[in-house]
Amino acid sequence: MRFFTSFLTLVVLLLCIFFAFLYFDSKYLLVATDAEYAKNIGKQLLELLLVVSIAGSIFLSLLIYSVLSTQNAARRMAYAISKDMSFSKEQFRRFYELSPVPYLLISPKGTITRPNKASLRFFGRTEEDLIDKNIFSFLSLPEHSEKIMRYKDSAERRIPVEQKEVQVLLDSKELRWALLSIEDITTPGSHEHNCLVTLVDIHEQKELERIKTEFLSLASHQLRSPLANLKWYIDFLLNRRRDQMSEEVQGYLHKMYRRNSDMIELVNTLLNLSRIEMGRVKVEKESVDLEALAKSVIEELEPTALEKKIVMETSFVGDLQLDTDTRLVRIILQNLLSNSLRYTKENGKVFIRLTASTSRIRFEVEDTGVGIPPNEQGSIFSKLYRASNAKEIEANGNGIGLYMCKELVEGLGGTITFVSKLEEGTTFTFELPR
Amino acid sequence: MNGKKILMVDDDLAFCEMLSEILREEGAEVLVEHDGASGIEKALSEHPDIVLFDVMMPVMSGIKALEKLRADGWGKNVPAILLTNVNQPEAMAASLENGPPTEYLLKVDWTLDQIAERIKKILEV
Repeated sequence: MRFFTSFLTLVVLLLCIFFAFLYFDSKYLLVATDAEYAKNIGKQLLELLLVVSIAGSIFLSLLIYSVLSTQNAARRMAYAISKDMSFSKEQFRRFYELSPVPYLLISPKGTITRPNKASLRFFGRTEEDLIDKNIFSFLSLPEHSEKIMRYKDSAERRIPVEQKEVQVLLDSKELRWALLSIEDITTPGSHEHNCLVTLVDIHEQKELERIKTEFLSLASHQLRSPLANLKWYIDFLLNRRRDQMSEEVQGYLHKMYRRNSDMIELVNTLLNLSRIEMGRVKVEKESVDLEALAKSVIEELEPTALEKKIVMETSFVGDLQLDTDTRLVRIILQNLLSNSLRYTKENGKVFIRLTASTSRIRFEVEDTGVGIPPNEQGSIFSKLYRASNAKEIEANGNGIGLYMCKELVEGLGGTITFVSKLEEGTTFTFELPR
Repeated sequence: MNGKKILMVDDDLAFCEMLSEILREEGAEVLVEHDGASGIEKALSEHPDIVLFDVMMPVMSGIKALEKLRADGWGKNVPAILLTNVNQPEAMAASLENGPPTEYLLKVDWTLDQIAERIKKILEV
């Protein structure tokens, strides 16, 4: 381009010189006969041509100059930008490589194209081991392999995968827990499709969780032996050695028996909880007569209700046969009902209502108890949470029951809610889908 | 339960004492052992009408003892009760696999009288 414009400038300049030459030495253009007249016309024509070419060449030079300088400016800017970009690109590349977080670039189908240093360290493998392999072949989930398939599918469809727990197969054959995230980072207009995979090591946390839960389970099991023994000793004394004891002693023994039963109940709850947390509670569905189930739970708690002269009223509406897990529904009902009885004063009332509809079954446990303070209602389903007024009524409750109920209800595909008014009562409602 | 022979195998001495007293009151003959090996020996030599095995025992566990019991010609059909404080799905499966009449009871949920009642019910069948 530059050569062409320089050449053009040169040509125009030469033309100028030529015409100027002609003008000042016009005898080369003159034809004879009317010499003076022709000489004048010729001279005027040449004048015109000279002016036009001078103007033209000035104009053209200016044009060429401005074009060249714009080009120069543009080139300088492009150079500056590309230098900037290379700098940023370089920065980002270093950032990518030096990040302590394992990153991998993959194709949407999962082929690894670029693992960073941290990911090589995490996998315990070299770049050759990973490049061109499919990342999903290194991921697994015990008992939930279909989830890995789903993540693979999401990646392919460029749908983000956000912080999902997976196990990664390392070179040492060890399976390590990590949080998997996949995000499409293809730049628009580019025909190369890239996804960024991030793996965050959570193995230590998972291990800690597991150890804690196992310990809880072990401790709870160990506790059962002495608790069972106490139960038998006390029961034995009360049933078979009554003649050897005064009324007072018997009274105390009754109290001991009840407190011991509370401890047994707590241990059972802790065990159920640790089994839920260890994922060991498997929902086993069968056709259940919920009316019969509710009635049996009510019967179990009849003695407790009688002690406090609380009346339990029931209502059963609709077809209450449901495909669900008997043990789990029983635990939920036991928990809600014993809570109601516990936090309702003497001569109170508790209502148990089961209502069936085409899509679900609703359970309501309503009491005329002390209620839950409004500012504490948000935390009521948290582990180990007991409302402040609950502790006043009964110093000993464990705060695990409602957390477990929520876990169980949700595990069964249902929802649980409650409404409560201080000094008026609380109603817990949970629904199970058909 | 008059005249019935009951074999109890459990390393919890107090449990054995208390339950035996209750069962003897009902007229049963109660044999007691405190580990799985002696338990299975007694079972095969005395042929009781029902056997109670604690799951957690020294020398031989109740599950192992039950397996041995069911491997025997006579032992195949004797009613057995497995007692424990651990929710062991394997134990439960073992108890069902090894054919009725085998029951699995969680000690902590039963009083001694309730256990005696259960034994009575099984023996009546």
